[in-house]
Amino acid sequence: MPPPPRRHLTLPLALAALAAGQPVGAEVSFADRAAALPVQHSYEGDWNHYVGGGVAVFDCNGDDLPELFAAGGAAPAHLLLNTSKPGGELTFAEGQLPPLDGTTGAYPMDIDGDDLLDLVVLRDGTNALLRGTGDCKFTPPPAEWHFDGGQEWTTAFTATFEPGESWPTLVFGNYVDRTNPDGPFEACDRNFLHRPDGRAFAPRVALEPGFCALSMLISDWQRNGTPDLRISNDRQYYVRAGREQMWHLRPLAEYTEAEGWPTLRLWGMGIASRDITGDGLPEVVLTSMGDQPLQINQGGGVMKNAPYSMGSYATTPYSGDDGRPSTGWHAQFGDVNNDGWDDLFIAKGNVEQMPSNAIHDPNNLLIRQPDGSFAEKGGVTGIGTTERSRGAGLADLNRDGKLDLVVVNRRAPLELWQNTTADAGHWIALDLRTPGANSRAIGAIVELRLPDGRVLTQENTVGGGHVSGQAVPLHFGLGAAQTAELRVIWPDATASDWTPVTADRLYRLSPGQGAALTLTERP
Amino acid sequence: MPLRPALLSLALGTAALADPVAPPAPLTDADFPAFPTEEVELGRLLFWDAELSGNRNIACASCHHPRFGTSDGLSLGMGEGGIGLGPDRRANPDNLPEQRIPRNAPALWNVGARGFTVMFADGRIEQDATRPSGFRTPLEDEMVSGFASLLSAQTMFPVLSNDEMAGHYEENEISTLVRQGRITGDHGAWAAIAARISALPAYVDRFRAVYPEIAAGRPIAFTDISNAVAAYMTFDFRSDTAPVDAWMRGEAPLAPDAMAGAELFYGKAGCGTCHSGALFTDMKFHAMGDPQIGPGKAERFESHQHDTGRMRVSNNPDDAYAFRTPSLRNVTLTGPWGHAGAFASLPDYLRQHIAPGSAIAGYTLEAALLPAMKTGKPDLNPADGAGDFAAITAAASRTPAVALSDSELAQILAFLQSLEDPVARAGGRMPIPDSVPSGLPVDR
Repeated sequence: MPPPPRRHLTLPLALAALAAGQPVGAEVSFADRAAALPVQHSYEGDWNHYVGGGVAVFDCNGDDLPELFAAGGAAPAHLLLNTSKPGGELTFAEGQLPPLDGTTGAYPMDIDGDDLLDLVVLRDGTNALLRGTGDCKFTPPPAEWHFDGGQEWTTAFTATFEPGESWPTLVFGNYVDRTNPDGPFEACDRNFLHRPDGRAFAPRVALEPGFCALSMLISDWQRNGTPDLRISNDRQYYVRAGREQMWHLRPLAEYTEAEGWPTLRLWGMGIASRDITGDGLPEVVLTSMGDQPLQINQGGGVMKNAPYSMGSYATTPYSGDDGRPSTGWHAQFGDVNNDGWDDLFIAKGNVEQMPSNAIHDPNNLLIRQPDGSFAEKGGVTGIGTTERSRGAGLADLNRDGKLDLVVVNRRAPLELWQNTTADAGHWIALDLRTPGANSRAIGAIVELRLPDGRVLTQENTVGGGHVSGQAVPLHFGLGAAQTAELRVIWPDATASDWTPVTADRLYRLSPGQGAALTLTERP
Repeated sequence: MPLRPALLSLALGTAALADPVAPPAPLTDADFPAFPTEEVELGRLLFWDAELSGNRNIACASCHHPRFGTSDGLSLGMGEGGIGLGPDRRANPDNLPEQRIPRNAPALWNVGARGFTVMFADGRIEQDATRPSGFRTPLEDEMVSGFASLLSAQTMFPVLSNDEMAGHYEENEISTLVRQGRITGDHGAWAAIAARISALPAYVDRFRAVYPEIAAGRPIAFTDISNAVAAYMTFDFRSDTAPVDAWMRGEAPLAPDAMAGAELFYGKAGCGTCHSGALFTDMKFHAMGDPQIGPGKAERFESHQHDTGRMRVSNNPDDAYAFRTPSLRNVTLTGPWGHAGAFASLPDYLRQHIAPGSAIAGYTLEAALLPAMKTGKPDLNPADGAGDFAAITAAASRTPAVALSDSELAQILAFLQSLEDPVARAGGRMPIPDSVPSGLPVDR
């Protein structure tokens, strides 16, 4: 990758931020709540668990307080039941899981359209679907689902509901083919696509070539109504003849250079996707070693590296006395101070013992500034720990409207951070539901219009990060605004009317009559 | 009882009469750990044995050769994939090196001295009282125990470098483990090297003879290998019998030109401020404005081509482009000079060194000594994001320039000549082994 030009940020939103007079500068703070965890959890194991270590964030018992499923690698996975009181301190109790070893990560979603979240558990070995029964209990998937969990070393996942289908399409990304005697380098396994056959899975289809995927995301990144499959791949193992991939889903074909998809090689570990420029097109952060590139979506299928001056590259540790390059894993956008500008969390940590990279590598919390750049606050908030972090989740765990943080570490305890920002702005949380198979409205796009006219856009996806999925309400920071308007472009491409909403509430949203929205405020 | 040098100067009526230079305290036996002959001999065999390299094609001695002052005679070395020695080194067409080694191969004179507390040009291995172990190493708290000295710890890392000794990708079991990030433990790269040595009975017998625990049944660990190599380097590359040592010990005066150079060195040229003590280094880091050539200190996942020196270790922007003061012991034998070997002429190097950054503007690769090699990045690229010459110049601007006449420079060179030890000229204190237990060829 050529180095991005060093020039000053000239994004139009920089001026917009100043003009809008948003209450930026709210000093973000987090409190360490790891002591409230009922078990000591860490991601463990030999080389096959140097990568992985995901956490799924999802409400499995309908109380609007998200639970956590943390992958354990060679150690047990844990289900952590959220026992927090709304607005109170984070507390968790241990839940029950069927025996699962070799877990690398997990993504929650409703597979069978019963409006109860199920869990897709990735493993070094046979992947598992856990069917949620609504009380944080899980049963094996019925045989008639015809799910083939494979035997591969799975390290990435994404899903969608394709038009006209009443069953999801799943994509599993695999790392090194450990059965290849010429491995482990240049021995990347194939990825697999599971399409519906009625209300069951058809035989899985190989996506070739595979380049050691560590993150995947199906996203309508061009906003043309046709989601594509992005795969971020780890050059440490594909070595030479690999690349970052984008696939058309129908017909199934990899984007080519001829159609404008440039060859980019990264030590890709995680994908974060969010429109941060205000044009409705999602930007992406692709975690890697050294630079953590932020690509600005130019429209028309063109992504362009953000300038270094944007402060998002997080190339080396921002604290401590280890100046070697960082290793990035989970990345996620979220507005942690509710100022109306999305911030960025990046989990960092040495693979294991790579002398090329920082051993004490602090996690990043990059807070969006009035000029559009990012400022590092990982250190001052305390979340900038230096363990080998892998998966993570930014989500409101106690319904106080502020995004909390859970971080899975390899060979170190799970971290839990409660957002205690004192003067955060207003917020709104939106739990999207649609009737039918796609109960959680995967593929919907929410546009939220602030009183100053600025529109915040979020896409409801399953995938991305580093083996860490979330099925939680979409969270928007509103800054000083106490009201906003929103509309939803539903997965069937119909757009709702703009509908007024009041801040500081969790709403359940579903399609109403015609273009109306049905909004139900959650108690 | 030897005469003190000032007294000698008086007696000889040299220029020192007006402003006598007090030499640093000399090195003594107490400055060097002592090792049994058998351990030194074992270390010698290991130092010269390519068995320690992933592809069994490069020994420590290949780039730290007595014929080249325990360096390699090149600006930037050609490690794994090179054939031949010194300026004759060339790329093996069957195993092409991927890039040059990013820094000049350091000489090994007196690296075993107790005062040698900072290893490598960036000090990534150093004594560090702020760390629980008392050491900084690239593995930080993952570092194993069992290494007997800082030099032994240092010895543990070139074997892990793809471009230096380990080789690339899946070429061998060691490079594979290194690229996977598996260094310590029973399934790590160090254990894999130790397993190779343990498979050679001639080595096993010697390890048993030297280390009682191994005789008692403990397997050979990589730290045993590095301890033996450190013992050898300490003994063989001890250099304290140069004319300057006689001067320091009050045994003999320096030649007049050298003495005049000493007065400049410790006087108005200010050299002795950093090149202090009998090791001629303060073990600290200074930005001296050497031109950056070669691939830079960049990993394969980095697109830049710069070398920020100590900063890449310390994470402190004040350390940008600063490198550890090298020892000047036998400096006349260890060229090319500078952290990247930008100068194959010592006088040229000195001219830039006394006016830090002054050579950057007009620098060309003519000044360097680089064997032909296909490289992915140009050997000289001063641009921002590459060699970053402007940033180097800015960092060096904090170091004041010294004005010296050509004759003064010649006097300083004469003083540096007095640091050349007949022992070093002879290639150290021990002969090159005729053969090594692996049976691999010895780079003579």
